[in-house]
Amino acid sequence: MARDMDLDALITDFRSPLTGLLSSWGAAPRDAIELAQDSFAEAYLSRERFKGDWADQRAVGAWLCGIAQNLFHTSRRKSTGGGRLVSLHNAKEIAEGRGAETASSEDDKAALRQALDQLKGPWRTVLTMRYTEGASLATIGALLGMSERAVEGRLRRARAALKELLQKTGAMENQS
Amino acid sequence: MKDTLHIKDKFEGEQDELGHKLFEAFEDLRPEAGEFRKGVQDRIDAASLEGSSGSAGKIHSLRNVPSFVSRAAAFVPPVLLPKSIAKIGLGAPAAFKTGASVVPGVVLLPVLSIIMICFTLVLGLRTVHKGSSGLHRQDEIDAQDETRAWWRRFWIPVFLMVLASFSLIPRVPGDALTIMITISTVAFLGVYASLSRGGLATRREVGTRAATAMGFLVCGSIPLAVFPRTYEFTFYGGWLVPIALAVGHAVCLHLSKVGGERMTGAFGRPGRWPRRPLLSGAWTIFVLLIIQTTPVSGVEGTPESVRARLSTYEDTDDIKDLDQTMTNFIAAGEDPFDLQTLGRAARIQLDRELERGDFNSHNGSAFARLGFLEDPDYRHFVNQMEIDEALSSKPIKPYRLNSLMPAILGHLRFGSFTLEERNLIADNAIAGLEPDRPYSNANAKNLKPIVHLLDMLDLPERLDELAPAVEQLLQASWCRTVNGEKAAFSSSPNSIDRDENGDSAETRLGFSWGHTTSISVWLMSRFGVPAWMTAGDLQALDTYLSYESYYFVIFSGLDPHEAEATSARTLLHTTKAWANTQPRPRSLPQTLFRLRAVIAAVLLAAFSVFLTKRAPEELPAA
Repeated sequence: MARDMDLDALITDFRSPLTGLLSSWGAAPRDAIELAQDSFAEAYLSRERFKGDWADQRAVGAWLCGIAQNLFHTSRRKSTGGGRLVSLHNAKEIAEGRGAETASSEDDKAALRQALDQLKGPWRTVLTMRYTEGASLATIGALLGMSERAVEGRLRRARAALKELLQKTGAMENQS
Repeated sequence: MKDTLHIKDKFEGEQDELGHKLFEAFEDLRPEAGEFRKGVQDRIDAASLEGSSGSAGKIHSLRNVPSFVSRAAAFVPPVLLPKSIAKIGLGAPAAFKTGASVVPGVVLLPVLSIIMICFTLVLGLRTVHKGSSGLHRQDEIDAQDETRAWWRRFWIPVFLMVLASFSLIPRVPGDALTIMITISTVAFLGVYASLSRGGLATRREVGTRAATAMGFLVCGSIPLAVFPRTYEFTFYGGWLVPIALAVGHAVCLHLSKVGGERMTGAFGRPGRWPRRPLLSGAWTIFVLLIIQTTPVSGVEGTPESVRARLSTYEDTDDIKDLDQTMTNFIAAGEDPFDLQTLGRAARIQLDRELERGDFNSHNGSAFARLGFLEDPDYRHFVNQMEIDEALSSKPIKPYRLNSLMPAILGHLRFGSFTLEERNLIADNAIAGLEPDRPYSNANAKNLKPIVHLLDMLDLPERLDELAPAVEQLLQASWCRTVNGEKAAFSSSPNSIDRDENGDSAETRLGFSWGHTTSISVWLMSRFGVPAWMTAGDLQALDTYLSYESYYFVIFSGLDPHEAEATSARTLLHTTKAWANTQPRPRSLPQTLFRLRAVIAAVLLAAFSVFLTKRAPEELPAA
């Protein structure tokens, strides 16, 4: 028999990868968080419409991803005058207002953002989802409709490409 | 305290400096867990208590509101609306404030036509119940004066309604016709009442006017019923409309002739029934029945009809559609098709192109998939420059991938790629997809060459990577009509007219969406039907494909577009989601709603016949 929806568990599993996913679609950090909250609320309110098994993480992930896409597109359509939704990597606000941090740290972050911008979209997506809060391969795969192996493969390729880009700019010299 | 990255299922070398740097860079995407949970709960509470969500202004409670109510509410001042609805911004001023677009009033037409039918019914019953005035006299001039008097009084509203109905025919022909019929009924009843008051409602006067009105409507409704695909006349039993009107027309004409003039019959003998009106009515009905029940009218395409047609088909102009048709049929497990005639035509075309040294790369790929090519043909496809381009580190746009396909096919035929090279080409193709790019109008057609490429490169495991893009593009291009009867995948998603909730506000679907829809169905068969698609969505999609597969056996025969729709429908029926789709029986109100045009026609015919029959046929002494 199918389990009932456990909202807390759903949030625990999917909060960070979903926020990362929304961010990778182009939502500014604050908007990505709000849209993720909207998505969970919408999922809870329309839980009757979910025909799958709540224990099936892949089915839940696909459903949640669909809700998030709907909300994201609606939000994007409603945004006016230059866009409420700004890409994380273009948002200068991240770098600003961090007076306590060192200049070199800021330089590293800027280089990292620049390198992320140059990556292919799917690679940037998995990196954002994974490293926002260490989401598991399974939850990332559930949201993206991919197997864990495929997610891992994509992550490896994305990391290799990112490292290469950073090495070119000198931001990863120490490590290499 | 500074957060640190914890990954439970980290793979070798993952939790290194790069991982920590990324973790730091994404700091702004990490809200405090308790706050995040509270934000979700606040939204749920707000939606439960007030029918709306919180900060982002999403309208969650709309799911419980019938769509026509929410749309109707957009035209009603908020002061007249229930508080809960007004609060969620559905009143026109509120909608303006929230930036929501006011949906076109055309979506209210079904409701309007129902109201008009009810009004007609009440008015007709009242007229019937009221009876006719005592004294009757037959004076044609007086009758015309009474009729003119009625029209002088009501011509403006009737004219405006008729004008509005005509202007709506291109968008919602069914509802426009329904409204036209009800206007005719109201006008007829009004004229009848006027004649009756003047003591002029004789059978001849009433019957002639009713028959004339219905005659016009028969002429107007026949094209809608005979060419349902062209006019998207999707009402159930729409072809009954002209039949009901033709019956009413013939009977009223017959009654008016019998009662009015004591006219002579066809052979000049007094008292015989006039045959001409009856014959013309019977002839009309016969023709309509023939059209509806024989292959003279459109019939749905079937795999058998496609098989029969393609065995003799030799026009390669539509090879793109035919390629997808075969792809769909193969995916649906249909037996092989006889394409020898088409293959010969392809051979001639390709030879001609190769002679010129300039072949069409799209056709080349399609010919290859259809099995029309031999080794010498593939040699013409070999192109090292294009292979170098595919192996560079640049994303390959879908349209460019289509052009590179023959070169990749040629290379695979006579050589091979290393696993690394195959993955690199796949990376480039996937990176070129960009489903999020604004105004790109990306749709299933962009995905098709990538899926074919991954199949050719034998990289089935990488198909997983396309799943999100498939989901995204299918959702972005999905379009269901406002009445919910038909749905398809648009070839230009950005141009879909949407309401403030992001739902489609389209009343008709694009006639050129068949190819995109067909590819989309194929993608659904490969990647699974998206979870958001309901059983109703699948049935609406099936209805669209059914209409698109209609063809005229005698006049035109089945064309590649119809063959493709047939193949897509066949493939749709093999999906697991379709197997789980149980058609829901319609309730009586739903059935009556679908039959609204027929009901309006029957009402007009019934009142006309009844009132004509009841009118005195004999001339009282003047």
